[in-house]
Amino acid sequence: MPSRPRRLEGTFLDICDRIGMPYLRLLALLLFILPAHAGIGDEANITAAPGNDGNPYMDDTAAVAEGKSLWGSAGCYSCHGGKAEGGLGPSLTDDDWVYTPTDKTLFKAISQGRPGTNMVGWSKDLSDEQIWKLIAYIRSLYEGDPDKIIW
Amino acid sequence: MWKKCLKVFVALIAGVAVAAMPLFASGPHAQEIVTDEMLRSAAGDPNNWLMAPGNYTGNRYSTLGQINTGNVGELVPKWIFSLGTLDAQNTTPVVHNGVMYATASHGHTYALDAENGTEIWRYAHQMPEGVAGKMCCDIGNRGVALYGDKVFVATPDSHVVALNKGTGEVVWDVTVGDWEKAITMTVAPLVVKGNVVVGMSGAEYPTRLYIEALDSETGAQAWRTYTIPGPGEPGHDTWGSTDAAMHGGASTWLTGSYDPELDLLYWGVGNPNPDWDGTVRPGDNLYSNSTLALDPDTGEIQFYFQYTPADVWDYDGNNEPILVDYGSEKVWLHGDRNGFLYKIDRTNGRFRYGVPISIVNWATGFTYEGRPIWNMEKVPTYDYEAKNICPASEGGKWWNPMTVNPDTGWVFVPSREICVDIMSAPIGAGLNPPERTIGKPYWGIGTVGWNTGHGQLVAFDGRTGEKMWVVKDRSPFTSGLLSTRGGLVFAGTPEGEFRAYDQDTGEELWSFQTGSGIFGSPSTYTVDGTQYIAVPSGFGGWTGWAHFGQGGAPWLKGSRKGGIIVGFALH
Repeated sequence: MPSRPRRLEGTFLDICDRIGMPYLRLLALLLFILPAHAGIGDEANITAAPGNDGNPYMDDTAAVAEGKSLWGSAGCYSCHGGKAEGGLGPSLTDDDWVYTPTDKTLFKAISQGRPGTNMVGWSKDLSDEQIWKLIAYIRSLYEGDPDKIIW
Repeated sequence: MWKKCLKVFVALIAGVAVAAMPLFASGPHAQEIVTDEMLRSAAGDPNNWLMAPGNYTGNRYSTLGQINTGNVGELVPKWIFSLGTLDAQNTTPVVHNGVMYATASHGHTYALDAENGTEIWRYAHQMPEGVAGKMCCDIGNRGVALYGDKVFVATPDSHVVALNKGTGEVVWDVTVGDWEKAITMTVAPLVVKGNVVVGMSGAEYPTRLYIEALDSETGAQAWRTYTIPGPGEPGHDTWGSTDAAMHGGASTWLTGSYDPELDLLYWGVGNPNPDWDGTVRPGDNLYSNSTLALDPDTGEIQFYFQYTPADVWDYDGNNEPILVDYGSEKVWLHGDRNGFLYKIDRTNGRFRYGVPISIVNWATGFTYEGRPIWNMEKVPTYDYEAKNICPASEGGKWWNPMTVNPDTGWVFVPSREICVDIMSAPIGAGLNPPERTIGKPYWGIGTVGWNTGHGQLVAFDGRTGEKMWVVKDRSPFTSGLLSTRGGLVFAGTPEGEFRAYDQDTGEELWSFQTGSGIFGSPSTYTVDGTQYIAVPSGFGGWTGWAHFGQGGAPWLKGSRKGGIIVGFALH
């Protein structure tokens, strides 16, 4: 399994250095806790998340392997390619995304589909766990700019 | 004061009435009916384009010569019609009496004024959510059929819908397949002797597919012919087992041709399922990868020619048979995805020749009967990756129709030279599901990767199979072709260029950038004596060949989608 690209250098740690961890914690608290209570949209806390925003299988080797198997059995390859290189559907290995590629955004796209496109929802065929494993697999294939990783 | 107002008001009403009168008096005659006689003589009626393939021979040739090699440089767009959807725009615009009938992706059908692109009516078929997930190759559609006072369209969810030609209202709507089992439709129907003939998509899934004819008045089934013989029928034993046969695909998604004199309907049949694994279906897999000659009244198979028996390359032999007469010789010409151009006797299905359109290395030649002789180095197995198999699954010639000029007998083929590496895999391995499942793709694939190649347009003398010229291009030609008595052949590219070439030399005479890739087919017609050429533009279809692996044409990654028809006429 490919190692997860290092992404903290130059982004998160720099910010820590500059403004100090306590402030950051406060910021994180504001962004995570408050929206949950105040009903502010999910996107706010997703973009601020220092780790992945919900995938319990991120970097889990067994889950990535299972995700790879699901990639075939669910038929993802028929549009996106055997290695997600893109075909009828877009490549999922580069850093070219229509929507900010948070885990939750990917989860929603796989589960519910993208209206007006060929991407239908797969929630009838795949459990939530399976979708997360697929996402873990998709993340493992990433070949784009490491600085653009936000998950 | 009020009198003045009244005068102005009356003048306005009168003005509007006068202005509107020509619309009803001499505008598009959307109500006029299309008869059997008109369909039979469509080749001699260049003012209309009465069916997707142009006429019953399927030659996509027009006797119009107003636009010709001398003046095509003055061809300019006169109007643009937005199809309102993205993804594969695979239609051929059909035209009758100045009204164009065209389908879009995602189940839309339109009637528009063929002179100026103004919408007359639209039909947006309401589809079940999820149908796109059961279509291997995009949610496109290849066009309508006209007959009587109706327009016929096949929908992604396997309905055939008859619409009132004048209003677009639904007259009948029947279901001919179960989309949840991945039996779907993209075909342009063909009306023969009052029956609407359609074919099915779905051979990338475990299915058993068919050709079906419906009564054009009522939608009642006239006949259904399965393209895989059932138990006890001749040919059933060419699959190794009943189980393999009854799930062997053999799709029928391209419009056939009809010979009224022989009273035979010719229809193509696609690949067996699983596409790339022959070990689970040992035998010739009849009638996959064949052209069938059918009795149009009963659907009974009269004879056939099989291009690629026991296919392990997805050479999907659906492609159109074009009926041509060379003197007293009655044949069909067929450019196959397996890389060969064929001439077949259409009175009995006998092989006349097979000549390479592109680089071919999977076969070393033919037997006398036209059976290809395999090159075993290019046969993928579970433990052998066959490298650089030429051509890849899309040919040779992909599905986009070629054109034949019946005056010269020349055939013009949209082509490519792209090769592929393949290793097959059993169920439960590679990209296959753990078990064969209805409604789930099953390609029999371990690994597959396309190698970068190029496109080409190839002209042959169809009588002899002699190659007359080749025009190379960076990308494969992905449009259907159109040839005219003006000495022109029109072709489109996935990069959006719509071009006119000199039929004699292949010289490019004109080009227009349509904004998105061309994956449909042009047609030509007249309105009030002026010749128009219309072409759909909109990137889509199964374009995995461009990217999978190294990629057959990796520069097409991220190609902009679109959805328009452009109407051209001389400046």
